Formats: sequence, structure tokens, C-alpha cells
Amino acid sequence: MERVSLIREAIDAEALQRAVAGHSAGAIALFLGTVRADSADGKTLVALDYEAYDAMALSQMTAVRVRAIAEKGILDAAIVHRLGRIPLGEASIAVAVASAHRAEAFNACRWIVDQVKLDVPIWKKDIWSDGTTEWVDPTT
Amino acid sequence: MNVTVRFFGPAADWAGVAEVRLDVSPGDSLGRLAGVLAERYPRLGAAVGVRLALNQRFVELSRPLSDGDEVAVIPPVSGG
Repeated sequence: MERVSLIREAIDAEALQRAVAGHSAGAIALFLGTVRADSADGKTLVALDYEAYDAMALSQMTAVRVRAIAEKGILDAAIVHRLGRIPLGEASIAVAVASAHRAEAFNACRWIVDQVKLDVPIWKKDIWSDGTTEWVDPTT
Repeated sequence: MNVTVRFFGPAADWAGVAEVRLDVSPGDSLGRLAGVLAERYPRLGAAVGVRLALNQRFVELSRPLSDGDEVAVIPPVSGG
């Protein structure tokens, strides 16, 4: 399995975990970001639509992974982001990190997710029950 | 010489297009192009936190443009 990928189907978290597993690892941290229910003005959220600048998103995700391995004391990491329409409750992102001990795995996993949310060109749009759609503004 | 400008996420709505080819002069910087885009697309010009990428990398606005470059308009990202 690719260590960094953009996909358009459901995320296979177990496959991601297996991709980073190895006999030197004493810990694997696995993070899933999932689509959360929301409501506003009498309408409810149905799904999120994700789109990316694919080529740049992959190169930015790769840079985050390489930096995590170089600087965070971990053995391996894998990042997958799902694009397209994602229903409530399903995962939009998964990060798996393997390290010798748990502290590095927890720390690096959180750092990778934070970096992805800062510097990887991916955008999401709210899909509401009344048929309206709205880009999520992360600055508000 | 020409550069391709691609608009992503909400920026495509603000500009009303997903992609345009623009004529630029040799020596023009990415920052100069940013000014042109802000004037040509006022909703984009009024948006906060928009970054430009040159050939899939974030670079300084002083970077000179070359023929065939791909410039991407990157509004605040919301992945994850």
C-alpha cells in the first residue's frame, strides 16, 4: 500500500495500519478523522464533499511524512485522505504511525494530522439536507 | 509568454472559472500576477488568507515567472 494517497472510496484503516507495521515497532498510533453531524437554520448536514489539488496535495503529504520520520523519532508513517462525497460518520482522513514506544507514535500522529490541516491543498464543502451547499471557511 | 492559473476550492467560485491562461511579461513576479488576479477577480481580491503556489510549491511572491508555469490559487485549506 502507498504510504501517501488520495482515494475516492472508503478508507481501509486496517490496511493502513498493516502498511506501517513491523517487528521493530512496539506501538502503532492510528487516527481517523470522521464526518461529524451538524445543523444550522433548520437544516441538517448530509455529507461533506472534498476536493484537492491532487498533485500538490500528494507532494505536501509526502513532505509531511518524510519530515515526521526524520524529526519525530518514528519508524514509519502512512497518510490517506479520501476525496469526493463522504457521508456522516465515515472517515475522511487516516494517519498511521509506527514507533518503538508509544509516546513518539502519539506525538507524531497528532503532528502529522495538524500539518495536513495547515498545508495540504484540500477543501471541503457542506452538503445540507435542503440541497444547499457551502464551502467550509476554516478562518471563521 | 503564458502562464496557466488554476483556481481551487472556493476560489473557483470567486473567480467564476477553474482555469485561465494569462499573458505575462518576462521578469514579472508571482507577486505582480497576484495583483493582476486581485484586480481581475474582485471577490478573490477581497478574500482573506489566499496563497499562491508556483508549479505545486509555496514560494516567495518575489519569484519570477517563466513561460508555461502553473500558478495555483490556494484559499485557506480545510482538509482533514
